[in-house]
Amino acid sequence: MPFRANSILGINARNLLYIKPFNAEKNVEIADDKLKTKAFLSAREIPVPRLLGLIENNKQLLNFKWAKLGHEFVIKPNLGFGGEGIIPITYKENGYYFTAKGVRYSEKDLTQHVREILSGNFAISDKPDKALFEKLIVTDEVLGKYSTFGLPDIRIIVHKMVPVMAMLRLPTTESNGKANLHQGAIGAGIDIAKGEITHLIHHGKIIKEIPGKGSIKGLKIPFWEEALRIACKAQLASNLGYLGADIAIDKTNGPVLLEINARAGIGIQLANLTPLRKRLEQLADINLNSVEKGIRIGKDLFGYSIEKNIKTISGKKVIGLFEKVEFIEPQKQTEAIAFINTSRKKNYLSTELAKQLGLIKSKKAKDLDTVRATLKYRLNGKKIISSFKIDKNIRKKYQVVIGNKDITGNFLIDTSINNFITEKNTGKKSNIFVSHYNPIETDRQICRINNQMKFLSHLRPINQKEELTKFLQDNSYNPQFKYHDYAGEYEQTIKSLKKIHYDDSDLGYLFKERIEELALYAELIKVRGSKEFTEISTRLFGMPTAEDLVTFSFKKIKRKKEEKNITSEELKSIFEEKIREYGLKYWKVNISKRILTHCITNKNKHVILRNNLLFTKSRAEELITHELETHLLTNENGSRQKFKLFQLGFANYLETQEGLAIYNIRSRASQPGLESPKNRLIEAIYLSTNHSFSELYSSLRANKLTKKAALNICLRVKRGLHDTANHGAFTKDYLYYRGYQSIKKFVEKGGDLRELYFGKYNLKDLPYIKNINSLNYDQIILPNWLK
Amino acid sequence: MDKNLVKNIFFGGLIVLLGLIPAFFGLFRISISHLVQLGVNIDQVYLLLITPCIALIIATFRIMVGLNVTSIIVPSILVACCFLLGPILTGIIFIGSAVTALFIKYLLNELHLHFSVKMPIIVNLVFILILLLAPLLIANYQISSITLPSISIIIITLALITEKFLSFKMTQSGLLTDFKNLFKTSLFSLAIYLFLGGGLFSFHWTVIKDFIIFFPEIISVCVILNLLIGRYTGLRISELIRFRDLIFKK
Repeated sequence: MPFRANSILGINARNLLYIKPFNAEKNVEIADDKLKTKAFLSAREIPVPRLLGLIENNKQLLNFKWAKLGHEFVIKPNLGFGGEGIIPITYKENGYYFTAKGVRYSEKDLTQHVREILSGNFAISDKPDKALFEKLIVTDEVLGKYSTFGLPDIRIIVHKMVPVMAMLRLPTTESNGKANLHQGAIGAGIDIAKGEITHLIHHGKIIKEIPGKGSIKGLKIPFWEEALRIACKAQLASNLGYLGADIAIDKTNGPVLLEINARAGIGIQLANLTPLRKRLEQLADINLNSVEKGIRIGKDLFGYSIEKNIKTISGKKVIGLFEKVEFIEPQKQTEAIAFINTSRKKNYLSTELAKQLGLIKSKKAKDLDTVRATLKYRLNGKKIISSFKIDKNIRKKYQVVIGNKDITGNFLIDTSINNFITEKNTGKKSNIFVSHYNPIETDRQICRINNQMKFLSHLRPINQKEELTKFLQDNSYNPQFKYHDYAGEYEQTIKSLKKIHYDDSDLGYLFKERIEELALYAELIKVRGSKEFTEISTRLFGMPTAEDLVTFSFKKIKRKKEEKNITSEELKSIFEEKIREYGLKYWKVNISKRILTHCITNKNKHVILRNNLLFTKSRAEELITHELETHLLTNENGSRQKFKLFQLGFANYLETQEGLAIYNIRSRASQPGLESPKNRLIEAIYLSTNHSFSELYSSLRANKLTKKAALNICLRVKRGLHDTANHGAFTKDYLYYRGYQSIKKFVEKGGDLRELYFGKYNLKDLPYIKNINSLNYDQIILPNWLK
Repeated sequence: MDKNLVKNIFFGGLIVLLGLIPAFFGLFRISISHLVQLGVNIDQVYLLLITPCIALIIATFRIMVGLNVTSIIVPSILVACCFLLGPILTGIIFIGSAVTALFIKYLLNELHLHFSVKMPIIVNLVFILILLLAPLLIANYQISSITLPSISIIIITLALITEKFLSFKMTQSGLLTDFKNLFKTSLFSLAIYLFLGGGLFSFHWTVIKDFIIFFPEIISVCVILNLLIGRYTGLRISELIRFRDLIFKK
């Protein structure tokens, strides 16, 4: 046919062969309605932008409180299309709202815009519409640096659960911040298998690089696996057989589904320089019911085929270091994972597998070395007959070793291929390849979940003020705390954690620990107010013993009397000077009345001091040592590592961080000491196992603590419980003191404190940390006394 | 047999039959001769015959060429009006109305008004223009094929299709895009008018006109052709151009 033209999908074919047969009208209507799509898909655990507000009619518009939206939000028409009517507000200043481009809107302007939305001005049909307010998505840095402003998004075409083609759309100034190719956005084709950029187009023409920003060919899309999963799940949920899923990569939350498109455009073919119709026809006879299968098929069929090209040149198949083998004889269909080891000449089986194959029925252990068998097996589709011996030392990760004898002349090895994952999180043993393991992606996924968990704030009772008032009126009353219900959210978190992959390497071990710890945190929130709370808290943070009370009772050091004459503002200047001294340009020091402690350091490179305080000289020195020369430096060094968890913290990092800070203070400050209320925390945690709230308070008061101090300790220790008449405690504060002991022992045994400054991790994980290949030693900043 | 194929054959066949039955019984010729006997001008009869052809031509251009004009209705009415009022008068009224409407649209974008009153304001101002220009236009252009009372209805129709042309959307498409659409629609309509036997500056080409009048059954054939074009899944000419890099990729 003259117009078939290399199997390109035109609008006619798209409409008649794919949209009409596969996209029922009622499903298309849901897809066109953003609100319905959002509700529908989020109920099926597909991440969508958070809805901040909704206006359905003019009456609601009149009563609408703009202040509740905050400073960052997006206004969208519910039935809009082509990006029309969308206003993304990125900041507010002097009562005006501003977009990233600097366009200013007053509240009146926005109200008028919403009025136009309600009239149906931007709707796909001439119907009255609704206005949605969504949380602004801040794009991931990897993609964000290639677009001037606006939100880059990824369009994935999914057909019959298989991702067929994908494209990154980068807004430009010309497109006015819209990711619309017709309006001047840049399109970048994406290799389905690897998630890497292939070609670039602008106004339908191929370009080599983005003007002013350079080439992005080969750039890996972050969270690619997850993006594919979301697109396929969206198709499964929406029942649209031919679907374009628009996904954005949020800086904090990872991939988020922006919308689904029942009439996806055809320009994606130019961005990929590949006809789409050919790919869709390959799926004609496929019927799948599993997202994972669909992704696998999509990658296998439509991935950028370098390996296949090599095959056509050399006639040899390309394999990785670990491959699945299927034994045909003596026992049919026995599958196993093989390690392709060219340093060994012969092939070997593990003892277990040999038993399974019936090769060593009555052999003694010492005779296993003599066992030889000729077996027929299949590797990457090729049948091979070869001899095998038994190797008792084969590890559990694989059961077979294929040596050079069978590889030479038959296969080429690509060491970058590593398809093998054991499903460690579920505990299932699997011989089926799950997905490509990418430690950077695992790191991002963990960090994303870590950032989402507002763990400590979820332990704050919502009726704290009222209950404490009752307690202060009658000290025998035990507060009855209530909490927000986050059970559903944390269920989702636990499920997400289970899906994260890791391997057997040292880094994989560290990932595993952190995943397990975060799952425990989530579990802890779920069981607030129940008996299990103390148990899980103990698993996470430990529980002081009677011995600890002796060990941790620091003698109160008699200090020289000092005047409190350094204000918060003066301390701020001292801090800033110190930060400059260390050459840290991006760190800022702020003053706030909202923090509860004297000073905190956060991951956004801010040090925050409490407002309206007075400090002694010693206290100021302590804070410099504690906050700047411990926490700030480890934070900064962590941010210079390849994996973000170095900055956010691996499992149980807090123990070592706080321990190191206390150790530094005690060894450095002119008048070191631990204030007595903190000492009492260990005692309070210990006592809480058999004291109620009021009993604990009485006990602390009997130990000459002030009312305020005693109350604060009781709150710290009894948060997370519902009925504080019950025994039990939140034991997190135990970490601080345990950490100091372990650091002290480490130094006494000759340990080098400098090794604790690569980032945030627990001391016991130091051997694993040092084995990470990409560990950055050179750019580490150390405190002056350790240089 | 595939269920969808059976459905297509059944319903398609039904539509074809509905279109062919009058032709089969020669009803078109009978109807046309009655109309002429009753005093209807043959040119107006021709207008009845070509309207389905206009729709077919527009559909063909959309599906096979990829020319996206505003809608089927706007060019159809424009062509019909060209036959009634002549292409120049039609052009002046339509383009004048459209340009006025576009201009008012951009002025209204700066005002905070309910969306529902914007279109009536545009129509209002367009009609003010037409009322002022109509006497001049009618005096200067001879319209022989229609009665004068009918002119106002035709002019109203022309002015009102600006609403369809603007598609009710006060969206942010640029002025350049709007004028491009206007130019495309006008040129396309003029081309169809000329093809179907209209006259312009003493140029007349009546082959198609004579054929259609002689074979009025052609409008039944339009039904079948529309059905066939509706099943076309190949690339449009515009797509061949758009994807030429991909087509000729080595």
